[in-house]
Amino acid sequence: MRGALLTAWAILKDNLGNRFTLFWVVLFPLVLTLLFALIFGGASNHYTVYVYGTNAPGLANYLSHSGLFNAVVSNDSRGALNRGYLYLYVKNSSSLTVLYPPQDGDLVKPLAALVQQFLSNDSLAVSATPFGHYTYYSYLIAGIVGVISLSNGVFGVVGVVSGYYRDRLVDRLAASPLQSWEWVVSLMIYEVVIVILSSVMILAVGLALGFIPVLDLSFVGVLVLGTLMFSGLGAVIYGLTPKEKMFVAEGVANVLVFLLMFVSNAFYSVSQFPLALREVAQFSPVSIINDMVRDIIIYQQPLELWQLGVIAILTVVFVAAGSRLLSLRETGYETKEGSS
Amino acid sequence: MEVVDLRKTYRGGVEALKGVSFTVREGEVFSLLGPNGAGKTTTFGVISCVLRPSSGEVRVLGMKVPSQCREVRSLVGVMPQEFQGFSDLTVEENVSYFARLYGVSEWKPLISRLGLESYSKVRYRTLSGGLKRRVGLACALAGNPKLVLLDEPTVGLDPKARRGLWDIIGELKSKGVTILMSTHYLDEAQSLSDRVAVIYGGKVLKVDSPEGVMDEFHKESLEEAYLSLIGEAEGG
Repeated sequence: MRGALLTAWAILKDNLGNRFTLFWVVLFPLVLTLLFALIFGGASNHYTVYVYGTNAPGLANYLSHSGLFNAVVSNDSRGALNRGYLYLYVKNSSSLTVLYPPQDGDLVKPLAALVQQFLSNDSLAVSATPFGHYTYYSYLIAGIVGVISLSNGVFGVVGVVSGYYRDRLVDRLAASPLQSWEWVVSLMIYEVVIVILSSVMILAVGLALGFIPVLDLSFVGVLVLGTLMFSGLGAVIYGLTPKEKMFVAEGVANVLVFLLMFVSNAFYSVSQFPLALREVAQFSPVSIINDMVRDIIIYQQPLELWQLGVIAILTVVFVAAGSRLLSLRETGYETKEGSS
Repeated sequence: MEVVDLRKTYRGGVEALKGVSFTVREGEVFSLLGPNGAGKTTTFGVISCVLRPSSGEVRVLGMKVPSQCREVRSLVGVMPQEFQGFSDLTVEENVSYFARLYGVSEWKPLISRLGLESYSKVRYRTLSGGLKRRVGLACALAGNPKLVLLDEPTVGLDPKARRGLWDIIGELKSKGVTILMSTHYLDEAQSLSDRVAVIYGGKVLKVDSPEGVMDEFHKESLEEAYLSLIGEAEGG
């Protein structure tokens, strides 16, 4: 383990003094945050409504035809809350309860008017309550945290290791007493540290935007798990690329990171995606990590076990495959040593 | 160090070594010479326990490769071809990292020995090519190795920097360190080596002292003798 810690220190010091790394760790998430906050921060994009109660299917159909709302029959008020949707409940065609995200207060009046029209009831009792204290900024900041673990995990491993390969440092380390597992652990430590640093910085930006996250150990755990998963993915990309074509690994990492980043719920709700992309975006590992992060730091809800299970399995698979492919020496060398 | 009938075939089927044999005696400077693709770097890879031999026998400091590679790695210092240190670490940090990796805590005298004291707080990436090579050598020596492998240590250096590195290698030799190096500079091999091995197409053509090789081909320099030897091999 000594070798792993020494090497992690060397990699950290080497890269945190490097402008290129600083761009990815500090500037890139900052630019994303500011960009999306500026574009979407002032405008509401949460037009999905969960409808429950009297004649819910008919009402949902009516609302969906209004052109203002995308209505779904569901009594999952927690789900609506977590996704930043509105939730409405109609009781006996005489009273309407609306729960809405604070930034979507402007939507309550047109929504109530449409329900009144549908029910043909001018004396409908409307009760509207904002729920949660979060805004688009909190949604965005939590999403950027997931993106940080993705971009630093994948780019970090591919970029750092291919750079060290080009510099023949990998050859030098291969000829040293450093063991392959120590090499892999040192890279993982490096990734986790830079993701934590980067996340702290983005959460500080969130504070400036008025978002007060709820931080606890489970947040750190999810962050570490996500980082290990994406670092393992980066290691797989690096390991599968012929060493004389390292630029291919860097290209693949770029394409993959941007695809995973934008086809996810990082910046806006999955409900706003074209139908064909929704399922993909919903179950993308980045979306799952973001859901978990949001459950912890915004909604203070227990984690969904299936999500934790999926991420844990992907982490084990990617880290195991990546560790084997990141081996410092020719594959099977350690096995051969041990057996003779 | 003893290499007997060493063969190495890469996964794609490329046969890099086709039965290489030579012995390096304790305390000598032994150079591997040969054109690009001859198998010098592959030989280094096997001896330094990075590549697995396909067959043959390799003993380093009395230990078998690959079965005793953990021990071998702790006793052999390596400077790979075109090695670069951690570019944003200082000279001192680079050397101390490698020393600690070998469990050595006394690395400062090495920095002085290689004339790097005034650069110890300087970042590696800002150094000149010659100084970078010296740091590479310091990293190779940081674990107090009994055998040092230098793969083309002076490639790309200006004449003055090359001479500086020659002096250091000479000094190491005088202190009894065994050195196995590869080089394309035949004047360097002639000046520094006790013995040389000429490799061509994955096979050893000749092992002798530089003078022995020159005498055999009646040439006044190792370079001329080498060219005659390679010419013979290419001719058939």
